[in-house]
Amino acid sequence: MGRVELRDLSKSFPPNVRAVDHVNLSIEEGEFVTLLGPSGCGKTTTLRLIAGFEEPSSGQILIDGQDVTASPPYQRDTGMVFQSLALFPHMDVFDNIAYGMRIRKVQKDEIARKVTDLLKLVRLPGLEGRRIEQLSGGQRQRVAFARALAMNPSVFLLDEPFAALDKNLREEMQVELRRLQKRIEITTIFVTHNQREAMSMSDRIVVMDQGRIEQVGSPREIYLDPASTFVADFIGTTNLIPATIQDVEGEVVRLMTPDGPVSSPSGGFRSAQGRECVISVRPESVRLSTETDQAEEGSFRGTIDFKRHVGELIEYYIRTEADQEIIASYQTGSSEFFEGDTVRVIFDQEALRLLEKGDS
Amino acid sequence: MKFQRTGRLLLGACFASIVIFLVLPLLIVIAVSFTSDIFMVFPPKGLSLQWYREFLTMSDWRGAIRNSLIIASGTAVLSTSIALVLGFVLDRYEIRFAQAIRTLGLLPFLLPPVIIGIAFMAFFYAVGYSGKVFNVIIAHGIFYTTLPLMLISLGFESVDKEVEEAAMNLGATELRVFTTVTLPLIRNDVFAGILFSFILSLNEYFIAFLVAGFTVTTLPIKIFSSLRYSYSPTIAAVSVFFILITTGVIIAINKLTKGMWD
Amino acid sequence: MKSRGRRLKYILAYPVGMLFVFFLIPLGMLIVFSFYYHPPGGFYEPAFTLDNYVRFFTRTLYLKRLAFTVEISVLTALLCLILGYPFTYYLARIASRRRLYIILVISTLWLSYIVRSYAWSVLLSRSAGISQLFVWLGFLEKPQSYTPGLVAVIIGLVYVFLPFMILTLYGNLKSISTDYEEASLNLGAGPWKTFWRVTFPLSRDGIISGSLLVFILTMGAYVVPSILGKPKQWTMAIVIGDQATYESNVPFGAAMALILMVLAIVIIWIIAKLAGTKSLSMGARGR
Repeated sequence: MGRVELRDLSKSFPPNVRAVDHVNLSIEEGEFVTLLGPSGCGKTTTLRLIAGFEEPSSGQILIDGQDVTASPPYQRDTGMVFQSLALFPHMDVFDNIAYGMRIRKVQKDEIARKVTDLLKLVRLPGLEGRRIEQLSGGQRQRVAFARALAMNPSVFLLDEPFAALDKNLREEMQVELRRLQKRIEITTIFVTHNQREAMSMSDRIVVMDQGRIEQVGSPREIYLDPASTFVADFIGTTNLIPATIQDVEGEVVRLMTPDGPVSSPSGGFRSAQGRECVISVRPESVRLSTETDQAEEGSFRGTIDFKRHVGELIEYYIRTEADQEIIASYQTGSSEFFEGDTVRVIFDQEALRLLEKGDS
Repeated sequence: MKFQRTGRLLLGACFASIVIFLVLPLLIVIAVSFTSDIFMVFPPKGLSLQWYREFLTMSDWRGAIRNSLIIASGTAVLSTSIALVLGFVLDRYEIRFAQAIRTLGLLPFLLPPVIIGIAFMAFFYAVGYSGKVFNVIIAHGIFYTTLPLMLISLGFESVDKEVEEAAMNLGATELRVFTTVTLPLIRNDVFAGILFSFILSLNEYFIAFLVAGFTVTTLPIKIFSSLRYSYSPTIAAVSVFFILITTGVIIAINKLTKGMWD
Repeated sequence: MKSRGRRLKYILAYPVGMLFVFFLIPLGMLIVFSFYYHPPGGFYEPAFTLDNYVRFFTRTLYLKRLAFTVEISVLTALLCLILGYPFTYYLARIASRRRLYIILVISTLWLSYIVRSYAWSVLLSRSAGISQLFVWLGFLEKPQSYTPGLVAVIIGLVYVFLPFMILTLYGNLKSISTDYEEASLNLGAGPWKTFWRVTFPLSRDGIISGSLLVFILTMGAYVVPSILGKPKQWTMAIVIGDQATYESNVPFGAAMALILMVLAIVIIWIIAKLAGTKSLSMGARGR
């Protein structure tokens, strides 16, 4: 219950906008999948295609093996939460949640029972008679969840529901949603542009850009093994260093960068001599040393340009001899460098990744 | 709402028929105005511009045109000036009874014309000065204050206060800020107000008739009385004239207010 | 930015003065004149008499006119709603070249009532109207005129006031987010059910505003019934106008005008209270 398949799905808007470009995706029962990407990448359009509010230009949508591509939204087994929540202002909480059941002509006592259960599930017991305008932001969110889940849909769709919330409420709702989802084990497709949100809630993340899927994987895979410079740059921060391949020795690739030679694991990158590529290394895998005399292989020389505190981390911005900017991050309290220091920039070789030279 | 094909077609057909309903009578009038026959016939028997010529050359029609234009211009000036000053002071200063004064400005147009018409009749009789073009200008000018007031008030509201504050910070007095900063920004709304009241006054029959109908003949009054006594296609030609002017003014207003009706 | 009393604000005297002298005072004169005496054959004499009101309420002729005016106002409002709502729904939700249609609707609005009534008198006439079409299609034997008459008046009133309904409804419908409709579809309700359970209730304010607007406009209608109607279809405004001009009886006209206005206000007030709307706004104005 709740398998979703997108086959070669495309959607174009006139005049020439390819909002969704040949997307292929399989989602398992009970998975929490996030469609992640910048605005305009097609994630919301994809969601709306699944819900049935847009007709695809080509391709198919299957829910539990059934082709629903031609079905209207009211015949699809999906429950959707909109960005604006769209709770009916002219009805109270009970009527909002009961709406779908009434359409299906469910018995009155059954409806009442279900509404009570749902309000318990979203931890808002007793609020049946409240008018929507009397509810707080967090309460409205939960009513919207309850309404969407009232008919036990196969797929739970959410379109950036937390975008308008402040940080604390957002984090609280993220936990709430995940807890809820795990409890009823419903396939969930979540859309957001906030990569932290995606990383914290998802089983798998689908990174999208310009209508195409850039990468699909668990949060860990996406973070540690980005498939492209776009993904590497979009998720967290990363240093991107242009390089040319000098030679390959088994699993180790030797490259030349503007700042000197570097060795990196090949990690599945098709390495050929002379090929240009990009080395991606996360700031937490960059170490600094003031012993600048020993020229360690694969290290750069540079000066600390700028230093700033970001939460529990300290970020150092280093300008290398070849005028590249490298960012290194340390836990607060575990380093003692100052602006103006000359340092050696040392990479954790295992954490390096090779990527295609992209346009980002 | 994409899926009910038949429902949508039905709705579309309804829409189209109402569009036709709205437009058709006007098209017929335009067609009839070109007839070479002496009666209004559709389809027109032959094509001729004689009715346009008659309309533009006969002295009684020209007199009516002249009166209407004078009255409409006077109305535009009067109503827009009232609206501009009213809008300005209400926007700028803390006034006691501001809400009541604003309602006073918005009220005239909301009352049925017959009320306004008779009220002005009574007023001018009591004052002893009736049946003059001036009376109509006053009556129309007050009646049509409402629309320029609404437009200009919205215009004032949309002026970014910080721009004016910046001007003041640079040394401009209130009056100077108004003339050099605010007025240029609301210029379009003021023009729209002028055009609105002009065209409304040009078209208006009843109040003009009540206030000065026996002595002053405006274009609508002439049309109306012509309808009583003859059915000549000249009236059709005059109507086309109105249609063209009104459409032109509306398009101008839309451009000036940068698509306020989207 | 509000300044404290500077001298400039006193130019408020101009508009307020104008409105006071040329609006409030005439309205006052209206009330005063309604109590004046009308000497037979003369104009008016200042007095305080209830003759005018008595005359109105004791002559069935006038009461009939009033009743007819109210009836036709209600009918016109209903017809405009029935025709205008689907049109506006389509325009607000579906139509592609919206601006074009809106300009069209607005253009017909600013055209004189006379021109528009005249257009229908042509269209309904014998020699130049749709009866020619009916003959050609075989529905009629020979062409006939449908004007003046009740049908012509109704068509004319609907034609002339429909744009007001459309514009009011349009402003209202545009402001209802499509999210609500989509949520309803997602919850399993088809388009028809969605319309009746969600869109229609949410557009209630627009419906009431539009209907009241058309109602009060028709209550004051003069030109349309004048051109397209026989005496049986004349409205209060025509009676008042005739009394004040041809009969030179301004006091009586004033009394009737007041009665009409009071009646209209009372009806509107009752409807507004029943409907419980907080504000009746007139539609799409502003950015």
